Order: sequence, then C-alpha cells, then structure tokens
Amino acid sequence: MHRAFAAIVLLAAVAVAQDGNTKPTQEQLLAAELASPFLQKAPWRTDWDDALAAAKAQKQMLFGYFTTVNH
Amino acid sequence: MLFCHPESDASTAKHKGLGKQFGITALPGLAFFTADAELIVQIPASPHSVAQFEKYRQRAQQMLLLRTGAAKGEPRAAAQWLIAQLEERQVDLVAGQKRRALLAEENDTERARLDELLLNLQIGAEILAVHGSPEQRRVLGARYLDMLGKGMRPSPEVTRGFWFVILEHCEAAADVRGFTIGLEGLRREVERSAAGAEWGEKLVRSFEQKLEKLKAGK
Repeated sequence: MHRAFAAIVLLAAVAVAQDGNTKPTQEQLLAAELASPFLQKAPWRTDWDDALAAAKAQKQMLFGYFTTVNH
Repeated sequence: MLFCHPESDASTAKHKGLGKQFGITALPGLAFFTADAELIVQIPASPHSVAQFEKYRQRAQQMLLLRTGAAKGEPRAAAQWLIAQLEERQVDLVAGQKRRALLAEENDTERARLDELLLNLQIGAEILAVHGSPEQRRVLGARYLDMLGKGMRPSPEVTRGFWFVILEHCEAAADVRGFTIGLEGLRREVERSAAGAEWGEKLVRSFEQKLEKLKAGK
C-alpha cells in the first residue's frame, strides 16, 4: 500500500467579519471554515464520497479531520 | 488522502453527522480510514502534534497489516490484531472475550497483554456499575487492593477510577500502606495521561495531603 499522504497543517481560526450586533449564521460560519487557509495549503477534500473514491484509486488511507464551525 | 469535514447545522452542510457515524463525537476529531470507509484508528483527544500524527499514521498502517494477516488466518496476526483493537478501545469486554476464545494460539507476551487489557475492561465495567454508591466503591476498592496483592495487575492504561476506589477504601479504613500503594498507582497514571498538566499535579497533591493526614492519625 502506498504511504498515506501526510500533510502537516495548522488550523487557522478564521474570524468572521460581522458588525457588533449581528451573529453570523451557520451558513456564514461554514463558509468561513471552508475558506480556512489550511484547506488551501494542501489537497483537502470536503466531499466524503469523492475522498473515498480518490483514496481507493490511489490505494491510500484516508485521514479525516472532523471539526466544528461553532467557534 | 486528506478529508476535512466541518460539522455544521447549516442547511447547506454536507454529510451532517458524518463523524458520529464512526463514533467520533468529540470535535475536533482526527482519524484514519480505509478507502472502504472503515475506521482504522482514531487519534486520541490530547494536544495534537506532528509527532502524534506520525505515530498514529504508522499505527494505522500496522493495524491494517494485522487485520489482513488475521483475515488470512495467520495466528500471530490474529492475536495481535485483537490486542491492537483492545488497545484502541474498538472492542468491548464481551466481544473481546469471545474473540480471545477463538484464537488458535497465544504466546506468553500476547497472553499477558490480553489478560491485562481484558482486565482493564472488566474493571471499567465494574466501576461504572457502582457509580453513585460510595459504599460499593469502597468494597470494590478493597477487592482491587487484594487483587494487586495477589499479583493480578491491569495494564497502565486502566481507568483512573481503579486507583480512586482503592484510595477511597484505604482512606475509610485508615490503611496507610494501602493508600500509599493506591497513590503511587494514581501518580503513575497521571504522569502517563496528564503529561505534566496542572490539573494532574493538583490531583496528586490533594491525595498526598490526605496521606499525610492518615499518617498523622495513626
């Protein structure tokens, strides 16, 4: 089996711009999470089926990072 | 292959509850999977580091090899695959005992490791069963102290509760010697699991103070 691709990343907290009186919606928080710098630095996938298919094709393990957008 | 799943209540969120399907409930959760969506191993919820990632990447590869070997009927692989799964808390007591009974053979090292891992699970279940009853906890503590005296030892990964019930029994019984044994066990467990954290040091100190009181009371 090929060695699993290992990317060393640090999660950068993404501050969601908001005015003082408005809490960000879940959609906004999710969008901010998906725009995190760490997700741009390495080939992360956010579609489970897509990631599995790619792992199977490349004979790799899958490394999963499950996080919450509720900062 | 990297996969990131942000858990969200957003109406547009994909795969809601995906982590939960695999028993990943504490977020953030890090885990390795096969390409067939089987969980291989989850990285413990301790401060994450590069070294920890690398350790568990290798662990995941090792576990895959063991699983393959066990499926092929290799005797060493079968025992070691069960040991690995017990170590990663993927198998409960009943399932672990059943699978052990089916093993074709165990060498001395495997036998000792299986004994202590299954004992850990048994202890965990017993302590859970007496949760909320100080009296029953002390009874359990007396039994565990006796068990230690007879040479039966759980593994270092045994629940901290094992040492707590021993300490509770010994404090009630004013047993300085037994309390010292329990405190030493707790100290080792905290060193292993708390890695110098302040809460761990405070915890041990609180029991050291109790020991001093016990000694003074003699």
